[in-house]
Amino acid sequence: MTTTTATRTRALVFVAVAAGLMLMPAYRQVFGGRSRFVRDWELFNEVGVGLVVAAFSVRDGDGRETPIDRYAALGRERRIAPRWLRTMTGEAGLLRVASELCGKLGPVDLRARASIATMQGWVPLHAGEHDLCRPLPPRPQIPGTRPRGHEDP
Amino acid sequence: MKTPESHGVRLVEWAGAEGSTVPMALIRIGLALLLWARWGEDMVLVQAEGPAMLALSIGFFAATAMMLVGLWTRAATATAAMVVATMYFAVGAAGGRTAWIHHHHFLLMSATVLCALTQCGRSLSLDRWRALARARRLGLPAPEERGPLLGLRLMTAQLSAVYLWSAIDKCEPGFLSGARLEQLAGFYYAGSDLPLGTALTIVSATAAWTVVALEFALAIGVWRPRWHRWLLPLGVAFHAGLYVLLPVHTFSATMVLLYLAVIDPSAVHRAVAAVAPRADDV
Repeated sequence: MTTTTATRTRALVFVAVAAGLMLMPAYRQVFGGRSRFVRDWELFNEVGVGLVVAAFSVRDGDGRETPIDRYAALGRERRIAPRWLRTMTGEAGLLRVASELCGKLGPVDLRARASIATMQGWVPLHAGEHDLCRPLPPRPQIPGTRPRGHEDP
Repeated sequence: MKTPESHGVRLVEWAGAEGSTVPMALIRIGLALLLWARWGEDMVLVQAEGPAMLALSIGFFAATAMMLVGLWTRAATATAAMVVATMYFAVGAAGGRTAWIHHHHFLLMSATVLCALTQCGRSLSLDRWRALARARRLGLPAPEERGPLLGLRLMTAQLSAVYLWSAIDKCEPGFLSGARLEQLAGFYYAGSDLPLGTALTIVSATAAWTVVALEFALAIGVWRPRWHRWLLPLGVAFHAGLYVLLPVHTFSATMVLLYLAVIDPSAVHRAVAAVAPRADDV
């Protein structure tokens, strides 16, 4: 096949534009740039970060724990429960549910075993070491429990 | 032995080649519908704030409508590309309307711009119908449905880039352990009642490795015709799954539509002719 000028021009355009398409995401994904004019391909990258998965229990005087269903305890059906109850986000979300439970259950020793979602995976948040119906002692912030801001708002 | 020169010649011949315009036409029609699906509601004239947005809205609907039916197709597609690029970069990125600059918006915009580089009006269009009528009137042979494949080659590069960088992004312990997929399942479905440490973790980790392997395979495989027969159906199934499970909007549909750019154009042409044999009659 004879290579014409048109063919060569198209090939040059292809190389230039394809290189742009292939390399552009590196600006954000490799070098950490955050321009809105440049697209990365970090799809659903930070969705779910901060989600808390938790099981609540009430501890009696002998140290025995009885699991509680947070929906039943608050008189709600899971199917139609509000989002803050179904999907706890961040430690604040966990403590909000704990606060509602403490108000409903009266003076109890409420414990939780909870993990929080980070980009690195699940990180333990509570291991039943605190009574959530009492003020918590100051605790170090767990890194990575908030979106890094890679997603455009 | 293949020398660098022979690779260069092959690249030039491949990138500069010409072929059937039927896949370009199908992509053009699909893109017009996807542009309406994604942006149509936002672009309704009552939503336009100020004369500039009104002009953009009118341009959007006029250009995409003509693109759909294939009337003055190259001009219509080029206009649609300019309008959508303005919506993405000027209104979205520069103007702060960030709801317009998500991944699926960029993909649609990019595909429309690349479609404007094709002779997408030479098939399945009113332009084609008019060209055939003119040829018949003048006693000339029917114009060929052929054009440069540059736009399709670039769509292949766009597809490859999406898969490559998406796979690279997932190559981190949080994803490969299955945790990130569990978190997505929790965010969209199970909420805080996700059963961690169960079979779900095994399923999530397996799915995570499968997704990364498939994305790398697609990033390479879109360039390799021999892989298409088994790889592209897997890609379609993957995107169908994403479409059903996650709010991907037009992303999955656009990706699958762009597979038409990857497949041998003559094969697409034959398939369309087989479905609608009279489309080839003069």
